[in-house]
Amino acid sequence: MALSRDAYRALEDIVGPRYISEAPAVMDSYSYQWLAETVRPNHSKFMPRPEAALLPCSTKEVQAIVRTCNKYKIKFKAYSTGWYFYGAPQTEGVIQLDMRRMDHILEIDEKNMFAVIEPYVIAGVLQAEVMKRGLNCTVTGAGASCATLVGATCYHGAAGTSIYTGELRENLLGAEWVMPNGEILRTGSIGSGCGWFCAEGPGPSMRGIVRGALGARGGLGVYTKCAVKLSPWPGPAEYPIEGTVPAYRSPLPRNFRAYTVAFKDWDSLFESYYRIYDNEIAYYAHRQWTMLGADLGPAFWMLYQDPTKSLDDIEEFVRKREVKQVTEEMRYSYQLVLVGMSQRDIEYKEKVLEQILKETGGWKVKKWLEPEMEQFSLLYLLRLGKKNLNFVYTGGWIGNYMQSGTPDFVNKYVPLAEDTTEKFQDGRSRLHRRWGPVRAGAVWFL
Amino acid sequence: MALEDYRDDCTDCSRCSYCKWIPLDHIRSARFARACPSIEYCSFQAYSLAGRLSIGLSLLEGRIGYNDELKDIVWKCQMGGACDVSDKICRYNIRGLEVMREMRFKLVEDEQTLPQHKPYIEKLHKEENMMMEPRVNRGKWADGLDVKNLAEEKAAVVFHAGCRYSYDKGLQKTARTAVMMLRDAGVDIGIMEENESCCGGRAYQWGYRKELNGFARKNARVWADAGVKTVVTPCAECYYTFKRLYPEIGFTFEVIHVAEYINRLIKKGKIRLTKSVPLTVAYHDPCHLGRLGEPYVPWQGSREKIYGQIPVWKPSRPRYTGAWGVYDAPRNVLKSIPGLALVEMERIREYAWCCGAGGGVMEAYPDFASWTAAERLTEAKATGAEAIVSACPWCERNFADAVKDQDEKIEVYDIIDLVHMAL
Repeated sequence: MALSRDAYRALEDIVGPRYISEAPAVMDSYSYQWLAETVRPNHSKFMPRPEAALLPCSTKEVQAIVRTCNKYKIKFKAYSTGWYFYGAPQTEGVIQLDMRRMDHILEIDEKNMFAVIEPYVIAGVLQAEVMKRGLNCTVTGAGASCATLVGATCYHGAAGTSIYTGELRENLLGAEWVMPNGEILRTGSIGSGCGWFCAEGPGPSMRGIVRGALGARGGLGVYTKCAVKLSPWPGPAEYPIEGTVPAYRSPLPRNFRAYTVAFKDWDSLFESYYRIYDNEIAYYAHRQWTMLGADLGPAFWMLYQDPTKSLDDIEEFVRKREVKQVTEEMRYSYQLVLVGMSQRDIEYKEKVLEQILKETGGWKVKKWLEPEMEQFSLLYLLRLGKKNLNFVYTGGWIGNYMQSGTPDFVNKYVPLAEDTTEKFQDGRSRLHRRWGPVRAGAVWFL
Repeated sequence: MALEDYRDDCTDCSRCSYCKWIPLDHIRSARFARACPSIEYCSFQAYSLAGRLSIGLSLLEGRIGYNDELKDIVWKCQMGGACDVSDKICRYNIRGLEVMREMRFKLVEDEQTLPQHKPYIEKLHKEENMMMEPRVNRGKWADGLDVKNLAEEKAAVVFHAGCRYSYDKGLQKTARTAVMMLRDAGVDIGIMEENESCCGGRAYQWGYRKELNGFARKNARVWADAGVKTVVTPCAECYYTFKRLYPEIGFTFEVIHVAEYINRLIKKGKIRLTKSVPLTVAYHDPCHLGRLGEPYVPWQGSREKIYGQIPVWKPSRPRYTGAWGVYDAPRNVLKSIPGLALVEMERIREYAWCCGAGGGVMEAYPDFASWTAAERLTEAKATGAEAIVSACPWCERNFADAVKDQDEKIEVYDIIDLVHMAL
């Protein structure tokens, strides 16, 4: 169902001819989506093809597009970086709004610790800019290549640093929302002209409608700007980068520590987490290295340090004696970054960690204490510049049976996850048996 | 190879968007975080590596056919490979740049060529150069030089000037300087004069695959007849072609870029830099010397699944990450020049921003080429540099033209010129 010429011309008048297309090749570049095959007939990699794609550059243009869509009864869907099929049309007859021209950091308020951003500001860029001002932002599990506004307004928004920086859904301090009817609503304190400091008001508190727990994933109007809370960053103004592509490294400042801590079983692991949480010593706590399976994760991360190696070589690494030892040593493990606001602070946090490890029978995995692994680890965890590596090996987080949650949740969920694994496991996808315990999956915000 | 052979590369893309950015670890500012000139200029997803991978799949599945819009997507790209470096951070070792090149091959083979390229290719067939100039004038850049003519004599080293240095009157003096500098340093070097031919690499990147073999055969023959063991070139595109593409089709010589050779001679004390050159310069890594300048690694294999889950190549497929390109030699040369201050831009080495001249863009889309160059000049100026230095005549021509067109205030040099100033 092509757009009527009247509708096309009306949309073209809004964005200009350079920023609208209905060429089939252009449309297929939008309809191709990762994991589309999980929801599409015949496992197609393509979602329904949009009728047109538009690149608006302002709230005013977005508003005009939405009103025009309503006038001509056209459905629309907006996305920022477009990772995952949620942002793509789910049916025929939809136009795609590609928000990449709205890519400005509009304001960084150092004193009040927030940033006002447009939809195409990715976390890597925002982090680089706020770090110059002694601040940090939440880089969600989607990684530094994904848009911060999306995590704050439309989706999960959890991160490895959630234990310190909070989740983006919590960090939302208000949004500018072009509602499905084309009206603009500014939510939270900005809605009553009080500035961007609180998503609940004074002004319309729409957080529950805008996003709830998971967000509408691009399906409820268009968010054209938002403010997110920032956190203190007592590190360098920019990461000093060393090493060779792809395993870049960043030397640890004296007030930083990056560890992989391991335990003899899950109960000890979760107990250590509670204590770390209670004592407020962590800047980052998350299970990254074993997300792709406790059996293979260590092998992969060790081969990744060598630019001549690739996934093709993983069997060779799995067979190495050193890798086997590390694999066993860190079967029940997670990653931890401690950051001291002063030298005394880091010394205190270090002592607390030592005590917690002593009480829970945990240890620091030696391999990850080697300077190069430690430096790789720090950069990887804090910027999450290579998050994509974690997925797909085991069928993505779907392969992990969506075990996303707090330790309480994950612990309680284990029997169900195991039953489900058994039920659906077939000869071709022995996920947890091959790859490590089912709990080796995505415990998102440990 | 055919596009079909790259189906897995197309379907492996998870649309992570890495290809649009420099490696995310390296981002230092919003202003200079982008990697891909094509999508920055054209905006639509189709103009990114990820977009082109999906279009490759779409072509394979017969979802789309040929038209002008498709041609625009396929050719409005410098093929500089910044996207390919970022995409190699991905687990799957996707051959993004090869897929884009294969799409060009396919379109050319199906006679879906870009009209703007046609006169250049016709001239290439007739005159054996990419400058639309008469073949008989190829050796004129070296008129009067006291250097061996390898059509008549023998030498261990041939200096291959390349099409741009051979014919671009504004740049020819750089080639003359280079060959005399090497000769004076005691290198047994010669030139092919009018018997030098195009390397074939530039046309290859435009999608004209079969031409490469003819030029490779011809160049290899004349070099072998002249007793040549080493090929030295001041052109990054020729370097890439000899180093990476020729071995792929069975022609192997030692290949050295002039900047590498000069670095070697400085270390041996054969070239002494004594005069001060009081300039602050930013070095621009040419795509074909840097990230694309890695040596060819022979490989043949097939795909399998291991552990019932992971698709891998057996034997292990080479991974061109850009890690082993030529980055340090030119920097070492610049650091050896008395009085010269080398400053670094934000996007350097394997994640350098392209100059804009490659992939047929300069010939087909001059505005886009100029815009891309201007972006790089802005980045150089942001460092406080008075000059931008490159090691490729295509970069220098495009930069120089952009300086003129856009009234920029920055000097453009080849590294050879600065070395010469310090002698």
